[in-house]
Amino acid sequence: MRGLIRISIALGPVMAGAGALALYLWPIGESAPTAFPQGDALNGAYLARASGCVACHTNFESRGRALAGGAPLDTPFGTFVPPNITPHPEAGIGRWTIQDFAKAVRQGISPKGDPYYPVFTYSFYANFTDQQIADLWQAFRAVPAVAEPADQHDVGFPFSFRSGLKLWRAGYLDAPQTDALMGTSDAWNRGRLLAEGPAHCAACHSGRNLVGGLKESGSFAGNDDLPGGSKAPSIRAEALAKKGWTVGNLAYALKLGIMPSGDVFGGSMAEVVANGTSYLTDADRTAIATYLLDPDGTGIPQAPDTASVPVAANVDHSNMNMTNTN
Amino acid sequence: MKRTSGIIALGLASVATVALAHTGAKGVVLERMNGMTAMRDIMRDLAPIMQGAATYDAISVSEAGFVIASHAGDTMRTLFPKDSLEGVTYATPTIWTEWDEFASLSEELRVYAEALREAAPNGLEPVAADMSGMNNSPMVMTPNPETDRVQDIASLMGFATPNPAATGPALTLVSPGGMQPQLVGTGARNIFEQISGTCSACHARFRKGRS
Repeated sequence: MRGLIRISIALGPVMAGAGALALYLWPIGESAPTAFPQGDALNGAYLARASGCVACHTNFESRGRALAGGAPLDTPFGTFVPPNITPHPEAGIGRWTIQDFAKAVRQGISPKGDPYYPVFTYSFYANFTDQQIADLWQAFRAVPAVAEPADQHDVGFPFSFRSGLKLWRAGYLDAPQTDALMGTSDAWNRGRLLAEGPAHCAACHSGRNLVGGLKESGSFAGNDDLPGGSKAPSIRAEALAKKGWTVGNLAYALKLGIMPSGDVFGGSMAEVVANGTSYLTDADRTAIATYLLDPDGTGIPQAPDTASVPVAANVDHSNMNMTNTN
Repeated sequence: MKRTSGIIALGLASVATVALAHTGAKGVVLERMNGMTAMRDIMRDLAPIMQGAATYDAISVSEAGFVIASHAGDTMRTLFPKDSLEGVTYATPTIWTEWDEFASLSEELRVYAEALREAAPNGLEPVAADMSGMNNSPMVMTPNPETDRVQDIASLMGFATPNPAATGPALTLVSPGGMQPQLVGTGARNIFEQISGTCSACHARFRKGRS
């Protein structure tokens, strides 16, 4: 009996090691194209803003330089620091090829072949075309290089074992639904493409399971456990309408952050607006609002419940949630 | 004139009513919440006007600027004595650890609100705007120069140096110390956007719920 126990104790680490080795050797991703079209830096810069690259990889609060590394994100899995992605050869991505860049953005795989943590929202960028990758690449090459690297992630075991993410990818990595639908308007299709893809609304506004995967049933239904303890409300059409949102005032909020109640976004949504959606065109903000308030593409956005818009006389602060829940 | 009186009355009524309705805060915390509520209601009324969805009335807009200014600057700062976090409050302790930043934002709000009061007769849009400095570079979605931000690679990628000439007759603070805005030709919409930006910057840093 004691012999069996000893064998089990000895075999445990051996099995774990074999599993880790198998994960390490498990190949992921596909080769990037050998050639890309000529990129347009201005188009790429617009896409970079729309995709949150600038907002996430720049530490605005500490007045950091553009794309030199973002503010740390505290999550249940550890603290993640968006890296320096300026063209600096050592501190940034200056030694990358466009193929490395394409694989990182669309597939979430580093030039060394390691999977990126899903805190980098690459799954939403999976449908970027070669032209869009080339545009982004040109835009990133135009950014002044910053020699100081960003801090390393602070992630404990087992999450520090990157190859373990391959299991996560197998279970939860899906390309977004951004394709155009017949019978819907251009604005709706543009809104679907932006909201489901680059603008990655679901990254914050959808629930996540214990291992950080997006819950299919919780799409756009809100998330009470954002990094740092913040909350993201439901942005499903019915929930938006109940709070008095319309296509017009939602598009306006994506520009200025003003809610139907007159309150102004705080929390992470204030940053999303200030460093992201305020840079979009009015047409694109309207497109996002059009899609969110009519997700089925019926052509008739959900009508607002005007009675629910708070007026001064009805406000009781004791029950007021100030975490962007409008 | 009726609308003017309405806005002022709404501001005062909201303060009084919320004071009664509020059950979780008291003292200075309650006072500042009431001030925030009054400003929130003004913003709610101004937003459709600035969008062009409601009729622009210079007197109403001017009075709105007056009400916001009356809650900003010194008034706001005195309502945030050090470590006043008793009871129900949405304030974060960083207000006092980063007091200079908070004080600057509260003053900025006052200056912009005063600017709105003074520039209201100019109307929504800039008067006799000189658009020669506009950057009309091509882009995927053609921007509307009246409402879309000027877009160039440096601005979009976050490394641009602010250049007032490139953004048209925008409101700028002459000096951080003096905070005297240039109002000549400035439209109310532009100032309103500065006000909302100041509110948002303050909420992002100093209100609970921040990530």
